[in-house]
Amino acid sequence: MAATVKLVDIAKTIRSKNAKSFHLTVDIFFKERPVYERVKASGAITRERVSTLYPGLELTEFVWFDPGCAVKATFRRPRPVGGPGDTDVFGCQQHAPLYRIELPASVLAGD
Amino acid sequence: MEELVAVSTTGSLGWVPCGELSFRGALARGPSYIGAQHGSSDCGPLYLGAQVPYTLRKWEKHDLELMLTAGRELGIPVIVGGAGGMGTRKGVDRTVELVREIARERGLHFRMAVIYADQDPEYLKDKLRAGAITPLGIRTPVTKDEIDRATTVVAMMGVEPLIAALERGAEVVIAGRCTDPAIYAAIPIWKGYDPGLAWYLGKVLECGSLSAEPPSLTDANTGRIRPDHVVFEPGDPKRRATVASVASHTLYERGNPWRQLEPGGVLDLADLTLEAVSERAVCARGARFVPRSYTVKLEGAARVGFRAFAINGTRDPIMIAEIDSVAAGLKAEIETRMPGAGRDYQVFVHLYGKNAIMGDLEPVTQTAAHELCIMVQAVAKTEELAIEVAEMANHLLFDFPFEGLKTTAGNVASFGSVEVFLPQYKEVYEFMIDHEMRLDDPLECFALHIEEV
Repeated sequence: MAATVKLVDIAKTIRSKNAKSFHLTVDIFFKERPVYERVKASGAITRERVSTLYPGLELTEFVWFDPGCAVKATFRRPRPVGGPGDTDVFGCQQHAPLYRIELPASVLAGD
Repeated sequence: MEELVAVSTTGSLGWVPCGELSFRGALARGPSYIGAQHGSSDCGPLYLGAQVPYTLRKWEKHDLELMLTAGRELGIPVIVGGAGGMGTRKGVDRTVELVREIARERGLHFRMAVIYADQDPEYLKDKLRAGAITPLGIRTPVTKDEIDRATTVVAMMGVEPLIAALERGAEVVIAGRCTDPAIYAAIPIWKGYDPGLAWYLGKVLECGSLSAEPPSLTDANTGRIRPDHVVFEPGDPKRRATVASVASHTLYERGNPWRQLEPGGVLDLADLTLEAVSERAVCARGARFVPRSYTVKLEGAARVGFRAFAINGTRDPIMIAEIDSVAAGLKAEIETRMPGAGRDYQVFVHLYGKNAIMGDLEPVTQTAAHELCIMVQAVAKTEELAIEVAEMANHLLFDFPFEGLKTTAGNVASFGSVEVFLPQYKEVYEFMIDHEMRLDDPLECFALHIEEV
Protein backbone atom coordinates (compact mmCIF):
# COMPACT_ATOMS: atom_id res chain seq x y z
CA MET A 1 0.00 0.00 0.00
CA ALA A 2 1.47 3.31 -1.03
CA ALA A 3 1.82 5.72 1.86
CA THR A 4 0.16 9.09 1.41
CA VAL A 5 0.35 12.48 3.08
CA LYS A 6 -2.37 15.07 3.34
CA LEU A 7 -1.86 18.40 1.61
CA VAL A 8 -2.80 20.26 4.79
CA ASP A 9 0.18 18.68 6.53
CA ILE A 10 2.80 19.68 3.97
CA ALA A 11 1.62 22.98 2.49
CA LYS A 12 2.75 26.29 3.94
CA THR A 13 -0.43 28.14 2.99
CA ILE A 14 -3.80 27.06 1.64
CA ARG A 15 -6.28 29.85 1.03
CA SER A 16 -9.23 31.10 -0.96
CA LYS A 17 -10.14 34.68 -1.83
CA ASN A 18 -12.19 36.70 -4.28
CA ALA A 19 -10.35 37.53 -7.48
CA LYS A 20 -12.22 40.72 -8.36
CA SER A 21 -15.99 40.51 -7.94
CA PHE A 22 -16.93 37.50 -10.02
CA HIS A 23 -14.20 34.96 -9.40
CA LEU A 24 -12.97 32.90 -6.51
CA THR A 25 -9.33 31.90 -6.46
CA VAL A 26 -7.58 29.24 -4.40
CA ASP A 27 -3.83 29.18 -3.74
CA ILE A 28 -1.55 26.48 -2.37
CA PHE A 29 2.01 27.35 -1.34
CA PHE A 30 4.82 24.96 -0.45
CA LYS A 31 7.64 25.63 1.98
CA GLU A 32 10.45 23.95 0.13
CA ARG A 33 11.16 24.07 -3.56
CA PRO A 34 12.12 20.36 -3.87
CA VAL A 35 8.79 19.35 -2.32
CA TYR A 36 6.98 21.77 -4.61
CA GLU A 37 8.77 20.35 -7.65
CA ARG A 38 7.90 16.78 -6.65
CA VAL A 39 4.27 17.68 -5.98
CA LYS A 40 4.09 19.36 -9.36
CA ALA A 41 5.59 16.29 -11.03
CA SER A 42 3.46 13.81 -9.07
CA GLY A 43 0.26 14.60 -10.93
CA ALA A 44 -1.66 14.58 -7.65
CA ILE A 45 -2.73 18.18 -8.03
CA THR A 46 -4.32 18.76 -11.38
CA ARG A 47 -6.97 20.97 -12.89
CA GLU A 48 -9.36 17.99 -12.75
CA ARG A 49 -8.57 17.06 -9.13
CA VAL A 50 -9.09 20.61 -7.86
CA SER A 51 -12.20 20.96 -9.96
CA THR A 52 -13.83 17.91 -8.35
CA LEU A 53 -13.50 19.61 -4.95
CA TYR A 54 -15.66 22.48 -6.17
CA PRO A 55 -18.48 20.67 -7.95
CA GLY A 56 -20.58 22.81 -10.20
CA LEU A 57 -18.14 25.72 -10.37
CA GLU A 58 -16.59 26.65 -13.68
CA LEU A 59 -12.81 26.53 -13.46
CA THR A 60 -11.33 29.39 -15.46
CA GLU A 61 -7.61 29.19 -14.63
CA PHE A 62 -5.19 26.58 -13.32
CA VAL A 63 -1.57 27.69 -13.12
CA TRP A 64 1.66 26.72 -11.42
CA PHE A 65 3.71 29.66 -10.17
CA ASP A 66 7.33 28.55 -9.81
CA PRO A 67 8.71 31.80 -8.34
CA GLY A 68 6.46 31.30 -5.32
CA CYS A 69 6.34 27.47 -5.18
CA ALA A 70 2.61 27.80 -5.62
CA VAL A 71 -0.33 26.49 -7.59
CA LYS A 72 -3.50 28.44 -8.19
CA ALA A 73 -6.96 27.64 -9.48
CA THR A 74 -9.64 30.21 -10.23
CA PHE A 75 -13.37 29.62 -10.54
CA ARG A 76 -16.43 31.67 -11.36
CA ARG A 77 -17.97 32.60 -8.03
CA PRO A 78 -21.06 30.54 -7.13
CA ARG A 79 -22.97 33.79 -6.61
CA PRO A 80 -22.03 37.42 -7.04
CA VAL A 81 -20.15 38.98 -4.15
CA GLY A 82 -22.33 40.61 -1.53
CA GLY A 83 -25.59 39.93 -3.37
CA PRO A 84 -28.67 38.21 -1.94
CA GLY A 85 -27.71 35.01 -0.15
CA ASP A 86 -23.94 35.50 -0.22
CA THR A 87 -22.41 34.30 3.07
CA ASP A 88 -18.72 34.76 2.31
CA VAL A 89 -18.19 38.28 1.03
CA PHE A 90 -14.39 37.99 0.87
CA GLY A 91 -14.53 34.42 -0.40
CA CYS A 92 -11.86 33.62 2.17
CA GLN A 93 -13.50 30.57 3.77
CA GLN A 94 -13.85 28.33 0.73
CA HIS A 95 -10.45 26.65 1.01
CA ALA A 96 -11.08 23.76 3.41
CA PRO A 97 -11.86 21.10 0.75
CA LEU A 98 -8.26 21.46 -0.47
CA TYR A 99 -6.99 20.17 2.87
CA ARG A 100 -8.26 16.76 1.84
CA ILE A 101 -6.04 16.31 -1.17
CA GLU A 102 -3.80 13.29 -0.66
CA LEU A 103 -0.34 13.07 -2.13
CA PRO A 104 2.11 10.20 -2.39
CA ALA A 105 4.44 10.32 0.63
CA SER A 106 7.35 10.24 -1.83
CA VAL A 107 6.83 13.97 -2.47
CA LEU A 108 8.47 14.59 0.89
CA ALA A 109 11.78 12.97 -0.02
CA GLY A 110 13.55 12.18 -3.23
CA ASP A 111 14.25 8.66 -4.45
CA MET B 1 22.38 55.53 -6.73
CA GLU B 2 19.25 56.65 -8.52
CA GLU B 3 16.27 55.42 -6.50
CA LEU B 4 12.83 56.21 -5.10
CA VAL B 5 11.41 54.89 -1.85
CA ALA B 6 7.68 54.27 -1.68
CA VAL B 7 5.88 53.99 1.64
CA SER B 8 2.62 52.08 1.78
CA THR B 9 1.01 53.30 4.99
CA THR B 10 -1.69 50.65 5.18
CA GLY B 11 -3.52 48.31 2.88
CA SER B 12 -6.86 49.89 3.73
CA LEU B 13 -7.09 53.41 5.08
CA GLY B 14 -8.83 53.37 8.46
CA TRP B 15 -9.65 49.64 8.39
CA VAL B 16 -8.29 49.76 11.90
CA PRO B 17 -5.89 52.53 12.96
CA CYS B 18 -2.68 51.69 11.11
CA GLY B 19 0.43 50.56 12.98
CA GLU B 20 2.35 53.68 14.02
CA LEU B 21 5.56 51.82 14.82
CA SER B 22 5.68 50.34 11.33
CA PHE B 23 4.93 53.75 9.82
CA ARG B 24 7.82 55.35 11.76
CA GLY B 25 10.06 52.49 10.65
CA ALA B 26 9.08 53.10 7.03
CA LEU B 27 9.73 56.85 7.32
CA ALA B 28 13.26 56.11 8.54
CA ARG B 29 14.08 54.68 5.09
CA GLY B 30 14.13 58.09 3.41
CA PRO B 31 10.81 57.96 1.59
CA SER B 32 10.11 59.75 -1.68
CA TYR B 33 6.31 59.53 -1.34
CA ILE B 34 3.62 58.11 0.91
CA GLY B 35 0.55 56.25 -0.28
CA ALA B 36 -2.48 54.35 0.92
CA GLN B 37 -5.40 52.67 -0.72
CA HIS B 38 -8.83 53.14 0.64
CA GLY B 39 -11.09 51.60 -1.92
CA SER B 40 -11.88 48.01 -2.56
CA SER B 41 -14.70 46.19 -4.27
CA ASP B 42 -13.74 43.28 -2.07
CA CYS B 43 -16.24 44.22 0.62
CA GLY B 44 -19.08 43.84 -1.87
CA PRO B 45 -21.20 46.21 -3.94
CA LEU B 46 -22.93 47.94 -0.99
CA TYR B 47 -20.21 50.55 -0.60
CA LEU B 48 -20.30 51.49 -4.24
CA GLY B 49 -24.07 51.40 -4.59
CA ALA B 50 -24.96 53.17 -1.36
CA GLN B 51 -21.77 55.30 -1.42
CA VAL B 52 -21.24 54.61 2.27
CA PRO B 53 -17.87 54.11 3.97
CA TYR B 54 -16.77 50.76 5.37
CA THR B 55 -14.36 52.28 7.82
CA LEU B 56 -14.88 54.56 10.80
CA ARG B 57 -14.25 58.27 10.24
CA LYS B 58 -12.17 58.35 13.43
CA TRP B 59 -9.80 55.64 12.19
CA GLU B 60 -9.58 57.11 8.71
CA LYS B 61 -8.64 60.40 10.34
CA HIS B 62 -5.94 58.67 12.39
CA ASP B 63 -4.27 57.29 9.27
CA LEU B 64 -4.65 60.46 7.21
CA GLU B 65 -3.25 62.55 10.02
CA LEU B 66 -0.08 60.44 10.12
CA MET B 67 0.32 60.57 6.35
CA LEU B 68 -0.34 64.29 5.95
CA THR B 69 1.86 65.30 8.86
CA ALA B 70 4.77 63.16 7.66
CA GLY B 71 4.27 64.28 4.06
CA ARG B 72 4.49 67.95 5.02
CA GLU B 73 7.42 67.43 7.38
CA LEU B 74 9.43 65.64 4.72
CA GLY B 75 8.10 67.67 1.81
CA ILE B 76 7.03 64.60 -0.17
CA PRO B 77 3.75 63.76 -1.96
CA VAL B 78 0.90 61.90 -0.27
CA ILE B 79 -1.44 59.86 -2.48
CA VAL B 80 -4.71 58.22 -1.43
CA GLY B 81 -6.53 56.09 -4.02
CA GLY B 82 -10.12 54.91 -3.88
CA ALA B 83 -10.90 57.57 -1.31
CA GLY B 84 -13.99 57.26 0.82
CA GLY B 85 -14.34 53.50 0.46
CA MET B 86 -15.15 52.83 -3.17
CA GLY B 87 -13.83 56.04 -4.63
CA THR B 88 -17.22 57.50 -5.49
CA ARG B 89 -17.73 61.27 -5.56
CA LYS B 90 -19.46 61.21 -2.17
CA GLY B 91 -16.66 59.14 -0.69
CA VAL B 92 -13.95 61.36 -2.15
CA ASP B 93 -15.75 64.43 -0.77
CA ARG B 94 -15.89 62.83 2.70
CA THR B 95 -12.15 62.20 2.64
CA VAL B 96 -11.42 65.67 1.26
CA GLU B 97 -13.44 67.19 4.10
CA LEU B 98 -11.40 65.15 6.56
CA VAL B 99 -8.15 66.32 4.94
CA ARG B 100 -9.27 69.96 5.27
CA GLU B 101 -10.19 69.36 8.90
CA ILE B 102 -6.77 67.86 9.70
CA ALA B 103 -5.02 70.71 7.88
CA ARG B 104 -6.96 73.28 9.95
CA GLU B 105 -6.23 71.50 13.21
CA ARG B 106 -2.57 70.93 12.46
CA GLY B 107 -1.89 74.19 10.66
CA LEU B 108 -0.81 72.36 7.49
CA HIS B 109 -0.82 73.98 4.08
CA PHE B 110 -0.46 72.26 0.75
CA ARG B 111 -1.72 72.04 -2.78
CA MET B 112 -4.32 69.28 -3.00
CA ALA B 113 -5.54 67.57 -6.14
CA VAL B 114 -8.95 65.92 -6.06
CA ILE B 115 -9.71 63.44 -8.82
CA TYR B 116 -13.19 62.08 -9.36
CA ALA B 117 -13.86 58.72 -10.98
CA ASP B 118 -17.66 58.85 -11.26
CA GLN B 119 -18.96 58.57 -14.78
CA ASP B 120 -21.70 60.51 -16.50
CA PRO B 121 -24.37 58.05 -17.77
CA GLU B 122 -24.69 59.90 -21.09
CA TYR B 123 -20.94 59.67 -21.68
CA LEU B 124 -21.12 55.93 -20.93
CA LYS B 125 -23.98 55.50 -23.40
CA ASP B 126 -21.94 57.28 -26.08
CA LYS B 127 -19.07 54.92 -25.34
CA LEU B 128 -21.44 51.98 -25.49
CA ARG B 129 -22.75 53.07 -28.89
CA ALA B 130 -19.18 53.42 -30.11
CA GLY B 131 -18.48 49.82 -29.09
CA ALA B 132 -15.91 50.93 -26.48
CA ILE B 133 -17.42 49.00 -23.54
CA THR B 134 -16.82 45.27 -23.47
CA PRO B 135 -17.44 42.49 -20.89
CA LEU B 136 -14.94 41.80 -18.12
CA GLY B 137 -16.16 40.18 -14.87
CA ILE B 138 -19.71 40.25 -16.19
CA ARG B 139 -19.76 38.29 -19.40
CA THR B 140 -22.73 39.86 -21.09
CA PRO B 141 -22.62 43.28 -22.74
CA VAL B 142 -23.78 46.15 -20.59
CA THR B 143 -27.13 47.71 -21.53
CA LYS B 144 -28.35 51.31 -21.41
CA ASP B 145 -30.90 50.22 -18.83
CA GLU B 146 -28.16 48.90 -16.54
CA ILE B 147 -26.26 52.17 -16.88
CA ASP B 148 -29.41 53.98 -15.76
CA ARG B 149 -30.16 51.57 -12.92
CA ALA B 150 -26.70 51.80 -11.36
CA THR B 151 -26.72 54.36 -8.56
CA THR B 152 -23.29 55.40 -9.68
CA VAL B 153 -20.64 54.07 -12.04
CA VAL B 154 -16.95 54.54 -11.35
CA ALA B 155 -14.00 53.93 -13.62
CA MET B 156 -10.72 52.71 -12.15
CA MET B 157 -8.04 55.19 -13.06
CA GLY B 158 -4.51 54.26 -13.95
CA VAL B 159 -1.35 56.24 -13.24
CA GLU B 160 -1.99 59.05 -15.75
CA PRO B 161 -4.56 61.09 -13.76
CA LEU B 162 -2.30 60.85 -10.69
CA ILE B 163 0.68 62.02 -12.75
CA ALA B 164 -1.40 64.88 -14.17
CA ALA B 165 -2.13 65.97 -10.59
CA LEU B 166 1.55 65.80 -9.62
CA GLU B 167 2.54 67.75 -12.72
CA ARG B 168 0.28 70.54 -11.55
CA GLY B 169 2.24 70.66 -8.31
CA ALA B 170 -0.11 68.65 -6.09
CA GLU B 171 1.47 67.72 -2.76
CA VAL B 172 -1.58 65.74 -1.67
CA VAL B 173 -3.63 63.70 -4.14
CA ILE B 174 -7.05 62.42 -3.10
CA ALA B 175 -8.19 60.17 -5.92
CA GLY B 176 -11.45 58.37 -6.48
CA ARG B 177 -11.59 54.78 -7.73
CA CYS B 178 -8.10 53.80 -8.76
CA THR B 179 -6.31 50.54 -9.37
CA ASP B 180 -4.45 49.82 -6.15
CA PRO B 181 -0.98 49.40 -7.69
CA ALA B 182 -1.35 52.71 -9.57
CA ILE B 183 -1.05 54.61 -6.27
CA TYR B 184 2.56 53.41 -6.00
CA ALA B 185 3.39 53.06 -9.69
CA ALA B 186 2.51 56.65 -10.64
CA ILE B 187 5.56 58.48 -9.32
CA PRO B 188 8.20 56.01 -10.56
CA ILE B 189 6.58 55.96 -14.01
CA TRP B 190 6.40 59.76 -13.99
CA LYS B 191 10.11 59.89 -13.13
CA GLY B 192 11.00 57.51 -15.94
CA TYR B 193 11.54 54.24 -14.09
CA ASP B 194 10.76 50.93 -15.74
CA PRO B 195 6.95 50.64 -15.80
CA GLY B 196 7.09 46.85 -15.21
CA LEU B 197 9.03 47.32 -11.98
CA ALA B 198 6.83 50.26 -11.01
CA TRP B 199 3.60 48.30 -11.43
CA TYR B 200 5.06 45.32 -9.61
CA LEU B 201 6.15 47.63 -6.79
CA GLY B 202 2.54 48.77 -6.60
CA LYS B 203 1.18 45.25 -6.63
CA VAL B 204 3.36 44.16 -3.69
CA LEU B 205 2.75 47.35 -1.67
CA GLU B 206 -0.99 47.71 -2.29
CA CYS B 207 -1.99 45.90 0.90
CA GLY B 208 0.55 47.37 3.32
CA SER B 209 2.50 44.59 5.02
CA LEU B 210 0.18 41.82 3.90
CA SER B 211 3.10 40.83 1.66
CA ALA B 212 5.35 40.35 4.73
CA GLU B 213 5.78 37.66 7.39
CA PRO B 214 3.85 37.73 9.63
CA PRO B 215 1.37 39.49 7.36
CA SER B 216 -0.49 42.64 8.37
CA LEU B 217 -2.96 44.58 6.25
CA THR B 218 -2.62 47.70 8.38
CA ASP B 219 1.14 47.98 8.87
CA ALA B 220 3.44 50.03 6.69
CA ASN B 221 5.69 48.59 4.01
CA THR B 222 8.34 50.07 1.76
CA GLY B 223 9.62 49.49 -1.74
CA ARG B 224 12.91 50.91 -3.00
CA ILE B 225 12.86 51.11 -6.79
CA ARG B 226 16.05 51.41 -8.81
CA PRO B 227 16.57 51.23 -12.57
CA ASP B 228 16.70 47.43 -12.70
CA HIS B 229 15.17 46.15 -9.45
CA VAL B 230 12.91 46.81 -6.48
CA VAL B 231 13.66 45.94 -2.84
CA PHE B 232 10.81 45.38 -0.41
CA GLU B 233 11.27 45.75 3.33
CA PRO B 234 8.44 46.21 5.84
CA GLY B 235 8.44 49.14 8.25
CA ASP B 236 7.94 47.09 11.38
CA PRO B 237 11.24 45.48 12.48
CA LYS B 238 9.32 42.40 13.66
CA ARG B 239 8.11 41.69 10.13
CA ARG B 240 10.15 40.38 7.23
CA ALA B 241 9.76 40.40 3.51
CA THR B 242 10.65 36.90 2.32
CA VAL B 243 10.67 35.37 -1.12
CA ALA B 244 7.66 33.31 -0.03
CA SER B 245 5.72 36.25 1.39
CA VAL B 246 6.31 38.49 -1.62
CA ALA B 247 5.46 35.64 -4.03
CA SER B 248 2.38 34.92 -1.98
CA HIS B 249 1.12 38.44 -2.37
CA THR B 250 1.85 38.34 -6.09
CA LEU B 251 -0.90 35.72 -6.36
CA TYR B 252 -3.25 37.47 -3.98
CA GLU B 253 -6.71 38.23 -5.39
CA ARG B 254 -5.54 37.57 -8.93
CA GLY B 255 -7.07 35.10 -11.33
CA ASN B 256 -3.77 34.56 -13.11
CA PRO B 257 -0.58 35.88 -11.51
CA TRP B 258 1.49 35.70 -14.70
CA ARG B 259 -0.46 38.36 -16.54
CA GLN B 260 -2.16 41.10 -14.52
CA LEU B 261 -4.29 43.56 -16.43
CA GLU B 262 -3.82 47.24 -15.66
CA PRO B 263 -4.95 50.36 -17.52
CA GLY B 264 -2.93 50.53 -20.73
CA GLY B 265 -1.15 47.25 -20.41
CA VAL B 266 -0.42 43.94 -18.79
CA LEU B 267 2.00 43.36 -15.93
CA ASP B 268 3.84 40.32 -17.30
CA LEU B 269 5.68 38.31 -14.64
CA ALA B 270 7.01 35.51 -16.85
CA ASP B 271 10.61 36.57 -16.09
CA LEU B 272 10.09 37.62 -12.47
CA THR B 273 12.84 36.63 -10.07
CA LEU B 274 12.76 37.14 -6.31
CA GLU B 275 15.84 36.96 -4.15
CA ALA B 276 16.38 37.52 -0.43
CA VAL B 277 18.94 40.31 0.04
CA SER B 278 18.82 40.34 3.85
CA GLU B 279 16.95 38.67 6.68
CA ARG B 280 13.99 40.92 5.99
CA ALA B 281 14.30 42.31 2.47
CA VAL B 282 13.57 40.84 -0.95
CA CYS B 283 14.78 42.03 -4.33
CA ALA B 284 12.54 41.65 -7.39
CA ARG B 285 13.68 41.80 -11.01
CA GLY B 286 12.25 40.96 -14.39
CA ALA B 287 8.69 42.32 -14.13
CA ARG B 288 7.61 43.70 -17.50
CA PHE B 289 4.80 45.99 -18.56
CA VAL B 290 3.46 45.09 -21.97
CA PRO B 291 1.35 47.91 -23.45
CA ARG B 292 -2.06 47.15 -24.92
CA SER B 293 -5.02 49.34 -25.83
CA TYR B 294 -5.86 51.77 -23.06
CA THR B 295 -8.82 50.52 -21.06
CA VAL B 296 -10.23 51.13 -17.61
CA LYS B 297 -12.50 48.92 -15.56
CA LEU B 298 -16.04 50.19 -14.98
CA GLU B 299 -17.96 49.26 -11.87
CA GLY B 300 -21.59 49.96 -11.15
CA ALA B 301 -24.04 48.60 -8.62
CA ALA B 302 -27.82 48.75 -8.41
CA ARG B 303 -30.06 48.24 -5.43
CA VAL B 304 -31.89 44.94 -5.55
CA GLY B 305 -33.66 45.10 -2.20
CA PHE B 306 -33.44 45.38 1.55
CA ARG B 307 -32.13 42.87 4.05
CA ALA B 308 -33.32 41.65 7.44
CA PHE B 309 -32.21 38.69 9.56
CA ALA B 310 -33.77 36.24 11.99
CA ILE B 311 -31.06 34.68 14.16
CA ASN B 312 -31.79 31.70 16.39
CA GLY B 313 -30.06 28.65 17.78
CA THR B 314 -30.93 25.04 18.53
CA ARG B 315 -29.35 22.67 21.06
CA ASP B 316 -31.77 19.83 20.36
CA PRO B 317 -30.05 16.73 18.87
CA ILE B 318 -33.27 15.54 17.25
CA MET B 319 -33.84 18.89 15.56
CA ILE B 320 -30.20 18.94 14.46
CA ALA B 321 -30.65 15.51 12.88
CA GLU B 322 -33.75 16.82 11.07
CA ILE B 323 -32.35 20.26 10.28
CA ASP B 324 -32.42 19.95 6.49
CA SER B 325 -36.13 19.20 6.50
CA VAL B 326 -36.70 22.00 9.01
CA ALA B 327 -34.84 24.46 6.80
CA ALA B 328 -36.65 23.42 3.64
CA GLY B 329 -39.99 23.25 5.46
CA LEU B 330 -39.55 26.67 6.99
CA LYS B 331 -38.78 28.26 3.64
CA ALA B 332 -41.78 26.53 2.05
CA GLU B 333 -44.07 27.56 4.89
CA ILE B 334 -43.06 31.22 4.62
CA GLU B 335 -43.55 31.13 0.87
CA THR B 336 -47.00 29.58 1.28
CA ARG B 337 -48.15 32.12 3.81
CA MET B 338 -46.68 35.17 2.11
CA PRO B 339 -47.42 35.73 -1.59
CA GLY B 340 -44.73 37.07 -3.89
CA ALA B 341 -41.83 34.71 -3.17
CA GLY B 342 -39.14 35.07 -5.82
CA ARG B 343 -40.79 38.22 -7.11
CA ASP B 344 -41.08 40.49 -4.08
CA TYR B 345 -38.78 38.70 -1.71
CA GLN B 346 -36.29 35.84 -1.30
CA VAL B 347 -35.63 33.68 1.76
CA PHE B 348 -32.23 32.12 2.49
CA VAL B 349 -31.81 29.75 5.42
CA HIS B 350 -28.18 29.61 6.51
CA LEU B 351 -27.29 26.81 8.92
CA TYR B 352 -24.18 27.82 10.84
CA GLY B 353 -22.59 24.66 12.20
CA LYS B 354 -23.60 22.73 9.10
CA ASN B 355 -23.11 24.44 5.73
CA ALA B 356 -23.84 28.17 5.96
CA ILE B 357 -20.44 29.19 4.65
CA MET B 358 -19.98 26.83 1.72
CA GLY B 359 -23.61 26.03 0.91
CA ASP B 360 -23.84 23.55 -1.96
CA LEU B 361 -20.04 23.28 -2.11
CA GLU B 362 -19.84 21.91 1.45
CA PRO B 363 -18.33 18.41 1.28
CA VAL B 364 -19.24 17.53 4.90
CA THR B 365 -22.78 16.26 4.81
CA GLN B 366 -23.23 15.20 8.45
CA THR B 367 -22.53 17.87 11.00
CA ALA B 368 -20.86 16.82 14.25
CA ALA B 369 -22.08 19.96 16.01
CA HIS B 370 -24.25 19.69 19.09
CA GLU B 371 -25.74 23.13 18.50
CA LEU B 372 -26.54 25.08 15.35
CA CYS B 373 -27.27 28.66 14.48
CA ILE B 374 -30.20 29.08 12.12
CA MET B 375 -29.87 32.39 10.35
CA VAL B 376 -32.62 33.40 8.01
CA GLN B 377 -31.73 36.11 5.53
CA ALA B 378 -34.71 37.90 4.00
CA VAL B 379 -34.12 40.06 0.94
CA ALA B 380 -37.21 41.99 -0.17
CA LYS B 381 -38.31 44.89 -2.36
CA THR B 382 -39.06 47.03 0.68
CA GLU B 383 -37.60 47.23 4.16
CA GLU B 384 -41.03 46.53 5.66
CA LEU B 385 -41.42 43.35 3.66
CA ALA B 386 -37.91 42.15 4.58
CA ILE B 387 -38.75 42.65 8.26
CA GLU B 388 -42.05 40.82 7.78
CA VAL B 389 -40.34 37.81 6.20
CA ALA B 390 -37.70 37.67 8.94
CA GLU B 391 -40.34 38.05 11.64
CA MET B 392 -42.33 35.23 10.06
CA ALA B 393 -39.22 33.03 10.17
CA ASN B 394 -38.60 33.93 13.81
CA HIS B 395 -42.11 33.10 14.90
CA LEU B 396 -42.60 29.99 12.77
CA LEU B 397 -39.35 28.48 13.98
CA PHE B 398 -40.47 28.73 17.59
CA ASP B 399 -42.87 25.80 17.22
CA PHE B 400 -41.92 24.44 13.81
CA PRO B 401 -42.83 20.73 13.64
CA PHE B 402 -40.31 18.03 12.74
CA GLU B 403 -40.04 14.26 12.92
CA GLY B 404 -39.38 12.99 16.46
CA LEU B 405 -40.12 16.30 18.21
CA LYS B 406 -39.90 15.84 22.01
CA THR B 407 -39.97 19.38 23.25
CA THR B 408 -43.18 21.36 23.05
CA ALA B 409 -41.97 24.47 24.88
CA GLY B 410 -40.06 26.07 22.02
CA ASN B 411 -37.63 24.84 19.35
CA VAL B 412 -35.09 27.58 19.28
CA ALA B 413 -33.06 29.69 21.65
CA SER B 414 -33.36 33.40 20.97
CA PHE B 415 -30.74 35.67 22.40
CA GLY B 416 -31.46 38.95 24.12
CA SER B 417 -34.84 39.43 22.49
CA VAL B 418 -37.01 37.92 19.80
CA GLU B 419 -36.62 40.83 17.40
CA VAL B 420 -35.52 40.89 13.80
CA PHE B 421 -31.93 42.01 13.22
CA LEU B 422 -31.24 44.78 10.74
CA PRO B 423 -27.74 45.47 9.45
CA GLN B 424 -26.21 48.93 9.71
CA TYR B 425 -26.96 49.41 6.01
CA LYS B 426 -30.14 47.58 5.06
CA GLU B 427 -29.88 47.95 1.31
CA VAL B 428 -28.68 45.06 -0.82
CA TYR B 429 -26.82 45.84 -4.00
CA GLU B 430 -25.51 43.83 -6.91
CA PHE B 431 -22.77 44.65 -9.35
CA MET B 432 -24.56 45.37 -12.65
CA ILE B 433 -21.51 46.73 -14.41
CA ASP B 434 -18.10 45.07 -14.34
CA HIS B 435 -16.83 45.91 -17.80
CA GLU B 436 -13.86 47.29 -19.59
CA MET B 437 -14.00 50.70 -21.33
CA ARG B 438 -11.57 51.79 -24.02
CA LEU B 439 -10.35 55.37 -23.70
CA ASP B 440 -8.88 57.65 -26.35
CA ASP B 441 -7.11 59.60 -23.63
CA PRO B 442 -6.27 58.17 -20.17
CA LEU B 443 -7.50 61.44 -18.62
CA GLU B 444 -10.75 61.80 -20.52
CA CYS B 445 -13.14 60.58 -17.84
CA PHE B 446 -11.42 61.69 -14.64
CA ALA B 447 -12.17 65.23 -13.44
CA LEU B 448 -9.19 66.86 -11.72
CA HIS B 449 -9.52 69.84 -9.36
CA ILE B 450 -6.74 71.72 -7.64
CA GLU B 451 -7.29 73.34 -4.27
CA GLU B 452 -4.92 75.33 -2.05
CA VAL B 453 -5.40 74.08 1.49
